Amino acid sequence: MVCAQVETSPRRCWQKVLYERQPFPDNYVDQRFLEELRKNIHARQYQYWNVVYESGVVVQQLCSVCVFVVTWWYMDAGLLSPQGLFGAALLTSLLGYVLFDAIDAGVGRRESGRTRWADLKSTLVFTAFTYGFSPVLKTLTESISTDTIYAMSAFMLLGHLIFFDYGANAAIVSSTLSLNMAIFASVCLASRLPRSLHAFVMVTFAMQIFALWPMLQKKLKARTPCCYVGVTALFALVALVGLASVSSVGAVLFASLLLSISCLCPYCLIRLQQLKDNIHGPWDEAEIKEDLSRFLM
Amino acid sequence: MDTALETSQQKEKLLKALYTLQLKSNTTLQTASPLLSSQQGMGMVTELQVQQLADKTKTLCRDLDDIKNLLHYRQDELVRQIPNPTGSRYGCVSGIHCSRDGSIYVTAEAAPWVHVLSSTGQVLRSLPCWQTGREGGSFLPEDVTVTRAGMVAVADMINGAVWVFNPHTTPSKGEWIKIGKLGSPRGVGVDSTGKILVADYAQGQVCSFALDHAFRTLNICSVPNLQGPRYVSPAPNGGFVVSRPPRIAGMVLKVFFPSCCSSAESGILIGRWIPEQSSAVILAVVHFPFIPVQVKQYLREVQQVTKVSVSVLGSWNNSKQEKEESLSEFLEDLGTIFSHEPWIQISKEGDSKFWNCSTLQKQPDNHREEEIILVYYDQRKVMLSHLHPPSDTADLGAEDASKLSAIFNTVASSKVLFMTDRYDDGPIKMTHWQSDGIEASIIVELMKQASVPACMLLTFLLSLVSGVCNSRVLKFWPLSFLWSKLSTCEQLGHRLQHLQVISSSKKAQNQTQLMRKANIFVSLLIDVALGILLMSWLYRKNQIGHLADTLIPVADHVAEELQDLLQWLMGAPAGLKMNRALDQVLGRFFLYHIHLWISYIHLMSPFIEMILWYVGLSACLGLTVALCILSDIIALLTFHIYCFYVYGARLYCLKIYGLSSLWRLFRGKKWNVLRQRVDSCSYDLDQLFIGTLLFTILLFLLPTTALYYLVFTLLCLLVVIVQGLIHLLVDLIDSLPLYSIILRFCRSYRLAAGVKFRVLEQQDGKPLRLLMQINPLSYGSVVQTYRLPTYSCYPKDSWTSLCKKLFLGELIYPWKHKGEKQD
Repeated sequence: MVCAQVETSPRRCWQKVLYERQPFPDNYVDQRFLEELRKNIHARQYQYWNVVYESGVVVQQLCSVCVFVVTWWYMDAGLLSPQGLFGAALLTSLLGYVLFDAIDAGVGRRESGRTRWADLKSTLVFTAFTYGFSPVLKTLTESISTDTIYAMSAFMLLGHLIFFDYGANAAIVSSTLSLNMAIFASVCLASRLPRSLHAFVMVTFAMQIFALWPMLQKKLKARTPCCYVGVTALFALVALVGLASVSSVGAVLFASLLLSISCLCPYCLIRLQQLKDNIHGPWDEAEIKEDLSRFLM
Repeated sequence: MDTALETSQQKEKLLKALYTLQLKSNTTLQTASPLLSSQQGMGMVTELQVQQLADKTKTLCRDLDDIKNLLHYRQDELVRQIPNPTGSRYGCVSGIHCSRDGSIYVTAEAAPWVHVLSSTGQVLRSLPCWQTGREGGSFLPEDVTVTRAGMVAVADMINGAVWVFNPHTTPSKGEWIKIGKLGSPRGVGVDSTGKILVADYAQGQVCSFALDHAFRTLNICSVPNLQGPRYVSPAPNGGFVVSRPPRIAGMVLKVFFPSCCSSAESGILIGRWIPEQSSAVILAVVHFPFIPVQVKQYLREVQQVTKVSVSVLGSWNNSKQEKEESLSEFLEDLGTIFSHEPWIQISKEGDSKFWNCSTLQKQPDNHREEEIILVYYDQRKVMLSHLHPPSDTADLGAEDASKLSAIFNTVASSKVLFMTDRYDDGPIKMTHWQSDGIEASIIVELMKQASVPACMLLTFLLSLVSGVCNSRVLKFWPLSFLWSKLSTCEQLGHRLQHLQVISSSKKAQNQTQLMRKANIFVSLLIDVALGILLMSWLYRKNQIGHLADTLIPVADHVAEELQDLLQWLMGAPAGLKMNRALDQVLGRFFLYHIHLWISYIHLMSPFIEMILWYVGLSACLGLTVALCILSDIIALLTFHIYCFYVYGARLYCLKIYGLSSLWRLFRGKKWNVLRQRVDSCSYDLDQLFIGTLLFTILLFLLPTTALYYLVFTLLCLLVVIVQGLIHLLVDLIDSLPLYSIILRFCRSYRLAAGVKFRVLEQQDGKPLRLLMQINPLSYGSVVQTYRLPTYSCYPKDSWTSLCKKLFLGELIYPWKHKGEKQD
């Protein structure tokens, strides 16, 4: 409409192009300026219970770290024999292994093309290397102060939690680094245990809880959501009980942490989502939607 | 140099000040004049300000006048900055005057004009110099000045008058008024009392007179006995200054005269004429009587041998008694027989130091006043000396050096000329430098003759030795490897090459090669002498036995010290947190090595004295060989330290590389070999596990390994530094150009860096006399020029790369990088 009006006059219609010389100052805009303004295009509407369900991954990982630390505590204090722990870990591992295939009736295994022989080989490599290196691990940090080791382990476990792949698509996520930090922390902690068998069992247990357990969790979550909720609740309860047997204050704090993560944080998210006020328009930077990676080769 | 710099800074400052003043006043004038003319009143300017400005201006003007007056002495430079107003039609500027109002009055050669220029060089006005009312009454002004009354006065040499321009006679035109009758006025000036000063060129006096209103001269007085005054200017103290006309610099004739010929009998001068520099290098004096044809024949022969164009340059007249008219005429006539342009005539009367020098020009049109400079030179020194840097390396831009080198080469290459003996009964009698020590030169000749078969014998022996050295048996792997690592072998090979250079029958092509040979010879001699001295000390009082007796305990002691060190490392050294298990393992490993070493030394101990005895004999080959053997012995005796270093370095290197690659795995990255960069990579679970396990273990074991590496690297570096010091000494003896240094010390003129001229006593009317002295080369440049190359390869890697290597645990080989710890 504005255009038509201008065309009647001898002056030309203003165009939003740079490649033509126009009789307007550089900072000129016409009345169409804010016509293309859009708000909250990409804002998503969350359902509360959905968010709570998704926060289960974080709860699970926190509980894993808690269980690992509590187990190490029991081992260090001599309340848990390495043989007992090894047996229990072996049993749960076998159970998990069976469950892993049973959930999707072997579909995932067929798709990935991984044979049982490869699994056996990996297990053997784990066991052999850990067993072989356990005497070295035992004496590795002898001359280093216990506090240093604790601090290092705490940092590593914190790093593990930070870098863990919770399903978000962010640059900071690196499952490799996360797993490596967990292993480093477990090796550090294992080297403080009284005997080399303890160290061996500890490292094996760390592998199970930090490497194998999340894989099973992922599958459970994808296939059987109800079951996953139950498993998560049970696991959290186990971790809480374990922590309570070591320190009641810690258990209370941990429980409140879990509650805030699973209930309070989703509520805050949804409340804050309503305040979202993103504006979009032609001034946004160009966003390349198409996958251009094939041109980069 | 400093004064020149200071002067230029001062000039710049003055000019800047003047220019700023001018610029400021110009702009102020431009702004002020329309304002003052159009507006009424003075604006905000008070009377006081105007008064102050006027006062300041007065003082400023006075200062400027002073400066201007002082600058009068530098007219030439000022004139050169101003373009010639007459263009190139006439000659250059002949007279200039700077008036108080800042304008410049300029006269040009052969131009009947006086130009008035502004201070920036623009022509404000041009006064034609011609007398009104007369046809062809123009005159040529030589110099210009402005009288106190503001009238232009010029000097006219042709008419012999001073002209004053009276601008007030006829309206708008003015008139030139001729004043006085003077001889040949060239310069004109006005002194501080307002009198006109006129420089009379021909009569050699300066007249001064005052002018009254009717342009009559008053109070004429003159200052006689001046030599050709050209310009005249008042001096600040009330006197005046005159200047003589400058001579044209290019026409100075330089005669290089050998000082040994100064007492020669009369004759003709032979030498070389260098036309580019208009200098004559006189080489000898041929005495009377001679037959011109024979002289010419002789000169031709000399020219063929020396490749220097020697010719008869002039005549030499050394008359003890009164001047003989006939002889001088005869000498002039000689110029027609030996045609040379110019014909130089030098005559010495009695014992006078001051000689008469004149030149005869054949072409009559070539009438130029020539100034002659007599330069005395010591023929022997100049012949023997060698100008540095050598002409083949010197760049052509150094003109002075090439001029000098032409003279040096001329004298040096006409050595043949000096061979003719004074007592020879040849057809020509000559005076030139002659060597006195004929008897000594016989010995030298005998030695030269004897050296030929000696050299041949030496060459034969050397070829035998090098043949043996190059034989195939010694080229097999373990042996050749050993040879290349032992510095003794390297030094022997180096000396062999030196001997080959000395004994080669090829003649040295130039001075540099000759010096190189001599340097090698002297260095070899001194080396052997020092070696024999060492040997005599070693074998005199059974020093060898003492040495052997002390050597074994020293080696034992070193081993014990090492054991102690290892024991210390196996504990908790310096309170460091070491891994106890690894510490113990490494410590025991090294202790076992030391144990092996001690038993090896004890096995050797009975033979040590014998070995030393035989090895000591090698000192007769030179001190350097002995030193190299010492270095090798040190290397062999500290072999265990080197072994420890290698073990430590290898272990450390392994750890560093393992850690760096595992750290990439820890972060989920890997090194992409094809793209030479770090890429991200997804690892399997078991790879991750094992990698992280190993990473943890290596990380916690690193301090232990690093400590062992550090300690043994320091020990190894200590040994290498000792070896490096020995090799530095060897290099010093090898590379020092001793012959050149001795030559510089005893015969400093032999190595000339240049020449300096000393001004000798002067007498008016006689040519300038200079004495050419040779500037010796400084010791630093002697060493730099004649340094002998050494065989040891100097470090190719810098300090940073060395530190990097040390940090990464890469091996540093002591035998290939000997000197690098010192450089």
